[in-house]
Amino acid sequence: MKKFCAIVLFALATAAHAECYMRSSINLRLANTGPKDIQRLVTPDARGQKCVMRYRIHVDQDWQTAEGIGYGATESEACSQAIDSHRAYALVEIVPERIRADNQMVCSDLPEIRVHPVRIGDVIWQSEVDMHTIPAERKDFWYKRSRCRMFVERDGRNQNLTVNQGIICALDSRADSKWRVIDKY
Amino acid sequence: MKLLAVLVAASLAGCASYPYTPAPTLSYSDLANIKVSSKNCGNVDAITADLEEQLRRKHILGVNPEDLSEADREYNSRARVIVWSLRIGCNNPDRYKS
Repeated sequence: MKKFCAIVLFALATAAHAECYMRSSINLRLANTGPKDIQRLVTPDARGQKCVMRYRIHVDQDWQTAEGIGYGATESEACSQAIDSHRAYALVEIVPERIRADNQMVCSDLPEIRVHPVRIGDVIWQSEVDMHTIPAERKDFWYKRSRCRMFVERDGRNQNLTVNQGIICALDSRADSKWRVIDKY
Repeated sequence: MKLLAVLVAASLAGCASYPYTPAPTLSYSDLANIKVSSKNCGNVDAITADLEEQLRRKHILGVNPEDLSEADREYNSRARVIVWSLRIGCNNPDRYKS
């Protein structure tokens, strides 16, 4: 029983640790999109409120995670500062040889978003799937009164690179809505 | 009882007058030869229903591509491309205008 408890405690301790990233200063004017899949973390601060906004932006052919921090007397003031692109930092490397960057380690409890294989019916952030390789196909479209868009998914199993396409649709009209995978083919 | 028998006979007679003819099964090359354009926008639902019936017959409607054989994946992909080309193009006429 003691051994079992020790294993459970170790597992919990391992699972509870925060994700850590290198924070790099970058020029977000290179981005193809505005901030998507925005997550916010607001905490009290000596100056009032501190707001950490983490979001996804599409740069070149890939989604990247960015973060901005704002301070203000109110939550809305702090968060409007945090979403300002001039205050943004990338949390992963973007073409390192082309960018002069100041790096620092940051850790966060906000859920990590990254591109991964999805299945029909999954509910996801839109930046969990790649944008279409053809820029003209990246635009949102309307289907049954829902905002939808196409995505691509690279499947490299069995030594054959297959590219699947699919459709995701926003669950509601909010800018930070999650999306459902309604088709993949 | 007599009324029921008459109704059944009448309904069967009706069926006999309008025999159901299933749509032909399409091969992959049949699908590959299907060309759609904005002229088909009035029939999006009917075309979609026909293509989904083809997928249903092969038991691959709504199946994720990674769960399909290579042949079925290609067949499904071709059918879905036609369906979504019509759905997207017909409902969003300004999408491809520069």
